[in-house]
Amino acid sequence: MRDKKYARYPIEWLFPVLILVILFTVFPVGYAIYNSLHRILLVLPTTPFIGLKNYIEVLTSIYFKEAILNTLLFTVTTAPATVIISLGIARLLLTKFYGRAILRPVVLIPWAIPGSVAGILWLWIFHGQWGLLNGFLLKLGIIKNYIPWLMDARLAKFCVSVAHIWTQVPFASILLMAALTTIPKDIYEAAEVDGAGAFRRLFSITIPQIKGMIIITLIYECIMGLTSYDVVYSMTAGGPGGATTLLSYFIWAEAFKLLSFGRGAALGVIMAVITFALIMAILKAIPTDILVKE
Amino acid sequence: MAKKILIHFLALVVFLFCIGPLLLTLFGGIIPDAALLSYPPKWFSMKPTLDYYNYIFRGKIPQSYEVRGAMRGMISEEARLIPHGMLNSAIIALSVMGINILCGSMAAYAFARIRFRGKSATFMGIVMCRLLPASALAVPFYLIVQALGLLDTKIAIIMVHSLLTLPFTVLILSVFFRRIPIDIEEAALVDGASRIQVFRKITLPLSAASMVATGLFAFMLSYSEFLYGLILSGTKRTRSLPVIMASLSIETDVAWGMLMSGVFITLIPSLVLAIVVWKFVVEGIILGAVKY
Repeated sequence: MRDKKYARYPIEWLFPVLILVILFTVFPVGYAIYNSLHRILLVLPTTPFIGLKNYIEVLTSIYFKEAILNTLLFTVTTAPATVIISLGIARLLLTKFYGRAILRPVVLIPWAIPGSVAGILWLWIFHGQWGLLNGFLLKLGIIKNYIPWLMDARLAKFCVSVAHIWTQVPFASILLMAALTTIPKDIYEAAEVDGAGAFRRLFSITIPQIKGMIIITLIYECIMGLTSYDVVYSMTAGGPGGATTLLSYFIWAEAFKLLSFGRGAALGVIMAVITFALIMAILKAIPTDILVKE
Repeated sequence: MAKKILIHFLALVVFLFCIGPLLLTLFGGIIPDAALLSYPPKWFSMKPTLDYYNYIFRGKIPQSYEVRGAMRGMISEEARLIPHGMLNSAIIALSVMGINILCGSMAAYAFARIRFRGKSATFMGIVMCRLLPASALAVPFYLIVQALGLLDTKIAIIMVHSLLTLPFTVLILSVFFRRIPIDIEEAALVDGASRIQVFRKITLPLSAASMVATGLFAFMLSYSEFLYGLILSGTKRTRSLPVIMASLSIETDVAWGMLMSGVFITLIPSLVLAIVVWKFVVEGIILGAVKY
């Protein structure tokens, strides 16, 4: 209703959602902070208060350092790569060609696949002993011996990134595709008349026109990269050594493999802080007018 | 002309990139392990077989294993859990979809149509809670579910998945509801209809398509979700499909062909989902009005 009066709080409309949000967000955040200040080991009956000791232990461990470096490297490489590839695919899907009606839903498939299963698909390709990639390369005579894709620290990082990008491209493509359709066609026509080439049109029209969506997609992909977990779990289980151990996997291992819930919670708090810091940094780095316009 | 060839070539590359890994899985599931694992590779040296599928669905032990008794250990009981895991995943994802459509649309309606104090604070609270990284909350989630006595039940997983999907549903649906012309609703309210009646008789029918679409999103997220599925399900009883597949993949005594058959079975619902989501969500709503 358009009258100026405020209605009373419509609790009957909101309560199912609010109960879930309070039970599983407000409470857990408080609980995680509380846990992170106590020593909680499932094998011990008492949970003494230990202040910031969990944080100090976690922050000074070399495993944490490795996990955090891995995660940052993973995020700053996969997020832009995903956006660039997705922009290409989005543009392609809006071009007319034979079989487009088939390709369009096919592009969505990697997204509809559970991440842990996607990890297995790519394990089958990159497997060191019977992987298909090795088999093909050997048959074509490109390599003499099998390459241990997932046993070499650097190669394993690369392979995991490929698998992650594969799962992320569909959603990003659709976001960017939706943005591309909003660009008025006559801008391109005018540019073409003025003799602007394909690259010029890309950098002077397309990208500036959908800057807002590109940034939203980039932020989303950063969150996905920072919290990625399932692909790594089934592809490398964090190995070799700790080369592909990402922060999320590290938290899970700390809490549910080593059963140190206090340190797991401390890690969770640290991770939440990092995520927010990264989102804020991206938002700061871009001119404010973009988001206001959106 | 050259441009046309380039476009078709690129389309082919994208096509293979997206669907290639799936086709390779199909291939891996019908080739006997002996041929699959040979070095140098002789993939086509043996006849394709459906043994692995037979084992997963009917429990019939593959012939090649009976011949060589030593290989029996390669069969994992875990693979037999796949059909059950599919059922679990379907029940969980459908419930999540239902909860999203029901509760999500009610909350979204309140945000779209009712003026009340604390509206934007509540809205931001609901939407922002999704920005917390899932693994950061894993430990408290586990302890809460444990405290509620719901560990190892589907209810716990349904609740958590609903929380993960509801913010998105509320956000999208409130946008849709705002697009519906308000006049009809106001006329009904003036005529003495209650809010609930307006919601049920006018808003819901007018936005059925978008509600199904957002419901499908929720279904998809729930069907793929892994972390909480892993933490909250203990025994075989409640394990969802992604959890079973992940544990199969890191279990070393599983036959490779078996794993591949399992993966392919898992992929079939995803394939259907991708097509349905494209038709209803992407073409119907996101690209919607614009004809491209």
